[in-house]
Amino acid sequence: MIDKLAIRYLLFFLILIITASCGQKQTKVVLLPQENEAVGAISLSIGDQSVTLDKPYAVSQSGKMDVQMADPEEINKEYGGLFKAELKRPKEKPPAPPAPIFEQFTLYFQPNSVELVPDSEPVLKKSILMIRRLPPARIRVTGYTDTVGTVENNLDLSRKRASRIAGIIATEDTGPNFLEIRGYGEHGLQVSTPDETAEERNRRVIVTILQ
Amino acid sequence: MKHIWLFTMLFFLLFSGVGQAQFAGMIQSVSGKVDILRQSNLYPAWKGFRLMDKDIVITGPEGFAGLLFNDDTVITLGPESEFKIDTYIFEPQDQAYYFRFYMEKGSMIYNSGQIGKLSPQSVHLATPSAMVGIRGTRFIVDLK
Repeated sequence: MIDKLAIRYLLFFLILIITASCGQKQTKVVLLPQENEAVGAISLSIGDQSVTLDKPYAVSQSGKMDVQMADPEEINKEYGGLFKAELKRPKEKPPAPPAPIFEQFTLYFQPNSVELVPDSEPVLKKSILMIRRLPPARIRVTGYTDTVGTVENNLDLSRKRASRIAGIIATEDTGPNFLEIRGYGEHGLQVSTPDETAEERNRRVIVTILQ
Repeated sequence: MKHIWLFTMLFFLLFSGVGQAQFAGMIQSVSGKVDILRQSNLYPAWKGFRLMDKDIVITGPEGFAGLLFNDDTVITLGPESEFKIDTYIFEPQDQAYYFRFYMEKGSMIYNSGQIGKLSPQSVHLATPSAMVGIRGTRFIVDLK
């Protein structure tokens, strides 16, 4: 009796696992040639397993994790609709030269907080005094975090840091400036560290007064 | 003094809104049914629709969509696709780059823009079954 029940449960779970694995979509990637450009590369990975594709019409699938060469004509036929809809990439424009910097201030923060460390309070005051003396300026306020916590939370925290500092600058009688507020989370470390490393020099907001 | 606090609060609220509202790119072409899911609202896509973080582009059975990002990365979605912009940071001024895309289903052609040259290690494309690393190139992704 118990054995039968056990077998039934086993069967039930087996079927569940099989349907679950069938339900998961396979990822197929096909590297394509590029006009007037060297072909780059892509890698397909699941956990530790990884394959690299670096020739046009190389194909790989997440279920097999091998690299095969496809017939270009078959690819053109299979993905004809996509190719027809595909947009041309705009002609590359020379990158805009960065705006010249008039002055830059770096403010440091307490861990996981929008509060400045005591040493940075006078730096903030100094920056406000300078902005007050200047005619209306373009000011970039960019926030960063260290690598403690998730990428998403850090992005959010860095934006809050930048918003807070920009809010203080705007309300300190500094006149009508154009404030650009950005947060980059843990992308753009001043000191590169491994993940989950507390580092004060990375918990910062940079106030850049542009010319 | 009270007023200053009030203003600080007001500006904080205003700017935290501004801080989030950065555009990643836009819809450059639409054919068939294409919608954008943004914060649980569904908007029909049009040419020029500006895309931002967390937007999900959904194409119908005969829908195609062309997405042009700030760095000139071009993504063409095929029918019955679901493509999410998790995080898009392209700020050459601050040398800050980070793209994270998620493709739930469907098919697409990905053609990398400036990011492919400037910081290829900052691009991540995830699917339900794998991760795709991208070094400045053009390729098809097909989920079936």
